[in-house]
Formats: sequence, C-alpha cells, structure tokens
Amino acid sequence: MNALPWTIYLCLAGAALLRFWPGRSDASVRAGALGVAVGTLILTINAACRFEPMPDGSLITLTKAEWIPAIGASYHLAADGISLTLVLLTSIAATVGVLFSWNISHRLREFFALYFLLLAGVFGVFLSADLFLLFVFYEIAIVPKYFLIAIWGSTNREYGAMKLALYSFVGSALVLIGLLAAHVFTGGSTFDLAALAHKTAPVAQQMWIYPLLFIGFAVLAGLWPFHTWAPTGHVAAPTAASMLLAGVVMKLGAYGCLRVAIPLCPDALAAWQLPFASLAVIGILFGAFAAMVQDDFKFVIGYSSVSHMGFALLGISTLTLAGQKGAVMQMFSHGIIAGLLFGIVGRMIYDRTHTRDLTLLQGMRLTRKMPFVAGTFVVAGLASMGMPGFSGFIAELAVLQGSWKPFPAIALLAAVGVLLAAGYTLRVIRLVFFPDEESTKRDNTPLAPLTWPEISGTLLLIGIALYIGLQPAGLMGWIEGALKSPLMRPCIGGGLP
Amino acid sequence: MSVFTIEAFLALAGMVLLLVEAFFPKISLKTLGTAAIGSAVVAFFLYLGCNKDTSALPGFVAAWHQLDTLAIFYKGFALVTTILVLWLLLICSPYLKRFTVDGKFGEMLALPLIVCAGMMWMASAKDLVTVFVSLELVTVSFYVLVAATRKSVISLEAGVKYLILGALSTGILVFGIAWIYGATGSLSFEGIAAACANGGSNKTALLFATAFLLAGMGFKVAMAPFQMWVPDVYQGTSIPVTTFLSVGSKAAGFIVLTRLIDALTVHGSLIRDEVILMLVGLGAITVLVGSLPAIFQTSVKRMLAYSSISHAGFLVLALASRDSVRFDLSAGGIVAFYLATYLPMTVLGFLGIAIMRIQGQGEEIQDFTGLAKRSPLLATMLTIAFASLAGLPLTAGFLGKMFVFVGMVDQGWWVAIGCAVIGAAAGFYYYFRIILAMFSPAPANAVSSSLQFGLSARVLCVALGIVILVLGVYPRPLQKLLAPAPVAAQHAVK
Repeated sequence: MNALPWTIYLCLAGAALLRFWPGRSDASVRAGALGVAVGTLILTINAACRFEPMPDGSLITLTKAEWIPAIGASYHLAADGISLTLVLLTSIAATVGVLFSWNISHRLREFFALYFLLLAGVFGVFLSADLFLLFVFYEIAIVPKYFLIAIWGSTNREYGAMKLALYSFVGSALVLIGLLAAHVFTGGSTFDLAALAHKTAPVAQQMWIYPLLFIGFAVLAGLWPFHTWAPTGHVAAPTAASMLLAGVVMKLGAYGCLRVAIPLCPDALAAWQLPFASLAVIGILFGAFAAMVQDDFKFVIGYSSVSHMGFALLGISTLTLAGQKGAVMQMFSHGIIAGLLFGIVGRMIYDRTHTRDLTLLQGMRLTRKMPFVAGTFVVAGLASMGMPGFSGFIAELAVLQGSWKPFPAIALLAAVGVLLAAGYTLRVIRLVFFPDEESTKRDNTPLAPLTWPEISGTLLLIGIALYIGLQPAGLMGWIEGALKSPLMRPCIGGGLP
Repeated sequence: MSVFTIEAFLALAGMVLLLVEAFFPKISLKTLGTAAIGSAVVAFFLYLGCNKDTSALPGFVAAWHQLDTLAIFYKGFALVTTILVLWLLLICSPYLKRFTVDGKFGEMLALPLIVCAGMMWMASAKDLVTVFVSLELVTVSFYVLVAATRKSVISLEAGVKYLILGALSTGILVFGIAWIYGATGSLSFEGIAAACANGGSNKTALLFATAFLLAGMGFKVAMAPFQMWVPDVYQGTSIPVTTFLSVGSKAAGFIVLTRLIDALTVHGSLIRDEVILMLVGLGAITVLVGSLPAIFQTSVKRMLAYSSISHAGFLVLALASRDSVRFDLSAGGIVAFYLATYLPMTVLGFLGIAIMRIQGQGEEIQDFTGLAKRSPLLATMLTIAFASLAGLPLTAGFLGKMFVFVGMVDQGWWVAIGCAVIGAAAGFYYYFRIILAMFSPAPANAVSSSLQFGLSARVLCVALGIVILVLGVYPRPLQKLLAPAPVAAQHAVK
C-alpha cells in the first residue's frame, strides 16, 4: 500500500529517462516504456493484493509533509477503495497504451516522456488528499495531453488539441475558484480534504461553490453541454492518447466531482441534484443519438464515451449507494472498454486502412482480412452496450437501480440510453464488419498483419472486462467500503456524523 | 553604511559613466558595460550588508525616507532588475550596435544605474514630492533609453510616443497631486491618510484628485484605459529596454500605487469604497484589454507587450483586495510577490527573443517554429517561462495569480473574477501557441542549423529557468522577505 506513491515517481522518472534515452534503437525505448508501465502495474497489483481498508473505509495516509505552510498546503497522498480502483485502471491503461503505441516512430522519446508525464498527473490526482496538491496534479495531467494531440495526432489535430486544452483550462479555472472559495470560507488555513469536508463553508456559499466545482470537474468528464471537446479531441488524438483520454483522463473529472465537490458542499447537494442529473441524462441520450449518425468510426466511439460518462455522472448525482457504486464501477469499466474500442479502431483499423470513413470501410472486407479484429470488436461492442457478463453491465445496472428511487423518469430515459447504445454499436458492427457483400465494391488489397503488442493488449483488456463482469464483488467491496467512510458519506445521502 | 549611500553611489556611478563615455571615446563598450554591471553588483552586495534601519540614515534624508518591509524589498528588486537588464544589454550588444549611430550605445549602459537609483529612492518615499522627483528621474531616463536605438525608425517612433504620452501623464499626475494637496492639506502619505480618515475633507475633491492620480499612474503601469502606448513602444524599442520597461518601470509604478492606495483606503477613509471599486473595475478591464488582443498577435514581442498589460491588470486587482490579508501578506505584499515572480519569467521570455534576434531571426511566432530542434536548451527554458507567464502550477506564475484570485473570491467580486478567468484562459491559449510552435517540426524552407549562443546568455537562461521552478515549488523564502514585521521582533519589543 505504502508503495502506491511510487507510481507517480516511477512515471516522472520514466518520463525523464525516456526523454534522454541513450542509443539510437527505438526498440529499446519501447521496451523501456513498457517496463515503466508494467512497473506501475506491478506496484498497483501488489498494493491491491495487500489492501486492507480502514475499518470505517476512510483514506489511508501514504505520505504527508508540509509544503507551503502559509496557505496550508501539504504534500499529502492517501488512498481508499475508490482511489485504488482508479489507480488500478490507470496502470492497466498505461500498460495497454504503450502496447498500442508500438508503431510510433516519430519523435518517440518525446512521445513517451509526455505520455508518462500525463500518467504521473493522473496517478497524482487519484492519490491526493490535499486539494492544492490535487489541483497541481490535475494541471500536470492537462498540459501533456495538448502536446500529445497537437504533435502526434491526425485529423484536425491543432484544432482538437487547442479546443481540448481550452475547455480543460476553463474547467480547471472554475475548479480553482471553487477550491479557493472553499478554502477562504472555511477560515483560509488549510487545503486538506478531510479538514475542509469536516468544517464546511456556510450553506449560502456552498450553494455556489458546489456548481463551480461540479461543473469545473465535469467538463473533463464530458458533461453535456460542455462535452464538445471530447469527440474532436478523441478523434484528433493518436491512439494511445485517445485511450488515455477516454480511459483515464475523463475519469479525473468524474473523480473530482465525487471526491471533492460533494464532500466539500454536503448542504448544497439536494438543491443541485436534479439539474445535474438532468444534464447527465441529456448527455447519455445526446451522445447516443450523435453516435448513431456519425460517418467517422472514431467519432462514433467519441460520442459513445460522452454517453457512457453520462452514466457515471448520473450515478454520482443520485446520491445513493447503488448509484455511486455504479458510477465508480462505470468509470473503471468504461476506462477498459473505451480503451479497447479506441485501440481497435485507431490502431488496428485506421493505421492499416488510413480511413475511418464508415462507407469506405464497408468495401474493405475487414472480416475476411482481419477476423481477429472483427471478432474482438464484436466482443468489445457487446461489452460497451452493456451485455451481461461484462463489467459495463454491472455498472450501468447499478446506476439505473440507484437512480430509480430519486428520479424514476430520468432512470427510464437512461434505460433508453442503454438501448440506443445497442443501436449505434450494432450499426457500426454491421456497416464495417458485415456489409451487404452485393452492394459494395470489393477491395482485396491485403493489410499488414497484426502484431503481438496489439493482440496482447486487446486480450488483456477483454480479459479484464470479462473478469470484472463475472467477479465484481472484490472491486464493489472496495468501492462500497470507501463510500461509507465519514468523508464520502454525503455522496450516499447521509450527512457527516 | 546606510541605504541612502548606495543610492547616491549608483546615481554617481551612472553620471561618471556618462561623462566617461562622452569624453573618452576610445574606451570600449565592453569596459563600460563591465563597469556598469560591476557598480550594480557592488551596490547589490553593499545593499545586502548595509544597515537597513531608519536610524542609520543621514539626518537630512530621514524625514523623507521610510524603510519598511516593502521599501527594503523593492530596493533589492530594483537592483536585481538593473543587473539583469545590464546583463541583457551586454548579451544584445551585437544587435544593438546595428541600430545605434557609430555602433555606440554607452548611454544605454549608464542610464539604468540612474534609473535604479530613482526606483530605490521611490521605494522609500514618504510624500508625493519625493515620489514625483524620483519618478521623473526614472521616466526621463527611460525617454532616452527608449529612443536610443536611433537607426531604427520604429524605435524612434516608440521614443516619440513614449515621450509625448509620458509627459502628458506626468502633467496629469502633477495636477492630481495639486488637487490632493488642496483637498487634504498634506503631501505626505501619512497626512493624506489622516485627512481621508477624519471626515473633515471634501469628498468630491478627494475623488477628483484620486481620479487624476490613478490616471497619471495608470500610464506608468499600463493600466487600462491608459495602456494604448504599450504595444507600439514595447515592440519598437530594443529588447533590453522593453524588458526594463516591462519589469522596472512597472514595479516603480506599483510601489507608488501601493503607497498611494494604502493611504487613500486607510480604515475609515471617506473614499475607501469608491477607490476600491475604481481599482476593481479598472483591473478587470485591464486584464481583458491585455489578454484578448494578445490572442491575435503574430509577433511574440508584441504579444508579450499585451500580456504585460494583462499582468498589470492582475496586479491592480491584487492591490484592490484590501481586506484579504492572507498568506501573511498584505495587498501591497501580494503585489510585490507577483512582481517578484513576474521578473524572472519576463526577463527570460525577452532573453529568448533577444537570442533569436542576435542570430538574425525575426520575432514572429513562425520564427519560433522548430526551435526545439535547433536549440533544445532555449526551447525548454522558454517553455518554462511561457508556462509560468500563463500561470501553470509548479511555476512561479501560478502562486501570484492564485493569490489574486483568493483575494477576489474573498471579496466576492464575481464580474472581476469572470474577467480574470477569461484573461487567464486566453493566456493559456496564446502562450501555448508559441510553445507548440517551438516543438513543431520546422517548415522545409526555414533555417535549420542549430542555434548557438554565448555562454553568458546560456547561464542567464538556465539560472532564470531554475529560479522560476524553485519559486513555484518553494515560495517560502520570497514570502518571508515580504511578510510584515516578524513576530519575534514584536515579542522582543514587549
């Protein structure tokens, strides 16, 4: 457990090391990157195996040191079941992301340096128990994203990168103001999460601090109507970056809502519950409908991410135990499944066919040429639409269950979103992999064969989605334990003791 | 030795160097430059070691001189700025030689010492007459500095613009001073504060005077709506002078503004609310008129000019947050903190442009394309500087901005916060555009040879980059310098 902060340091050291990697061989850089990523995975799995939650589920302090005493900022890292779940997700995504970047050769060292810098920020956010520190890590996670997309991206990359960066920065500016307000109105002596949650700001102030924090964080989670950066950003990003973006970075936003916004403003939750739940469900439906009509394969996945993250945000807004469990589970599950989908589309298909246009792909007879791709995409699609047996099912079911009691109408609409997910997923599966053979012209150009990193990465993700789908109890236990802790209790509808 | 001796020494050194330059034309620029930077460095060490107590001052200045925390801090700030600017002048000498008559620019090496003496004197001013005299010492020297690169037409244009608007603003300032004397019967800050607080003064006259004082000082610090001269002058004049204007002249203006606003908004002051309202409004507007046009600039130097306006806006907002004494700093302390973080990043940014110019490159954003390949060191250091100017956490620029935001949140100025957020977000846009350009592959027709620059420029570059990062992570030393009288001393008195 105490080794968890080393995920951050390992990523930072890895970033520096890979940037100045000696020698000319690219293969050694890739191996080094894989080594760093696997290192974080081993650290996390080791911590997960030895994880013994506190009796009340609260955060376990990993390291704590004074930082800027005048403003009450400290270097305080801590973890509970929720952080651990997301750290686990991050290290899995990191490993698979390296595997799916195996074909990058353009400025490889810089690519991996930025990649691990981004990951260091993400690990840092999930492990911070001091809000000043959390904000610093949050910003560290934003900046490399911009460069990853702007330099290694494809379609409209500068536009996509700048849009994403500006949305993120405006979102983080709102978060900063919310945090500063929480800091100021509680006496201005500390940024410690537990202390701020214990001694909250006056109710009148909470009423506006809460939306600032929630919306500021939710921008990064793709909350409608602030989601528009997500599809363009995902499409423009290189494969590994879209995997991280959809898989991990969007979770930063949802995590912030859950971990920071709600505990800091327990008295404002009731008033804002319905508006935010409505926005979330609009996001679910909007994302699904938009995904239904896209011509670009990656846009389909991009909009589906908006829809799926809507479930996470809806779960958070329910303030019920089931809904929150579902939300955290959905963050984990969507991280795995979206990573898988982006990997298949971006790396396996686009890098070989150089098109993501659904009508062009129709004629390429991908099922014949790459049966493995077709097979895995169908499996991933099933997982994404919430097929029982995969992690997505557990998560979305729990969210629906949790939202039924407070908002039956919204729960029904969200259920429609699940159906729509089946619709758009089946549509792309049919268009790309099972087109009408008669009506399309046949293109028999052979495609490059699949490589071992892609295959192993895909299998790893499918395996995890299945494993969690069949054995959710372990993760659910961690999450539930953490949600019942005094700090997180406002999230499940109970005030502080 | 008292602080006053150092100020006198600097002014004297400046004058001697001017005379030497005039009467001994054979003495090389390098010697003059070394002498100038040497005098500044000597003055800095003397300053570190000198007795910073009012009792050490000679009797004839003690009446007009105060030596509080801020004064001591700003004196050091002026010295550091001057040393950096002189260093920059020496680095830029190949480029300056091209634009000066006969390749001589000795006066540019001597005048910064006189400016420095003026700024140090100003930091201690207790009354508006001292302020005016020292401010003029600074401004008149700047008139010469701005126009010194005489072979460049835009530099001359900048000189004329600066001269005319500077003279106008001085006139307005004097008018304001006259009114404040009429309204309060005093020229000292203490007297003004007392008159504002006792309620016997005429409120309209006081407000009228304040408006003129703010307008006059607004010109000096580039506060909207008196900022129009900034882009042209900053772009037109030589890079070291732009740097000096951007940091030194701005700091000088803010010392005076801090003292003035402290006096006008003293607790119980008649016009306290009005002055604060004026500052908040002007600050918010300044942030916007600085950062929004900056988005559309193609010249990095001009963009930095607009960004300098935007930073002035943040500083004014910091000054406006009177009651939020947080982080052990007063409003004036936060302004000083912000300026101290602003110093290394601005100097580094302009140093980058200077290095490009010396190599015969332009200062457009497209000239920075591919810089990372040509000089990884410079590109990295400039990335640090621009990230800090944008206000990224872990760099010096973040904390300054954060303090300003805390003050505004505390007071609940939502419109101003909105403007500041827009300004900060726009800042991210325009600074990151340059960073991205530096790390993009250069176009095929561009110069691709590696960029070489001298050892002294490299040392300065790395040193400033390190300072920015260290202050961003560990701001305590700076904060200690600015904290009000240490608690231990108060106990000792008891």
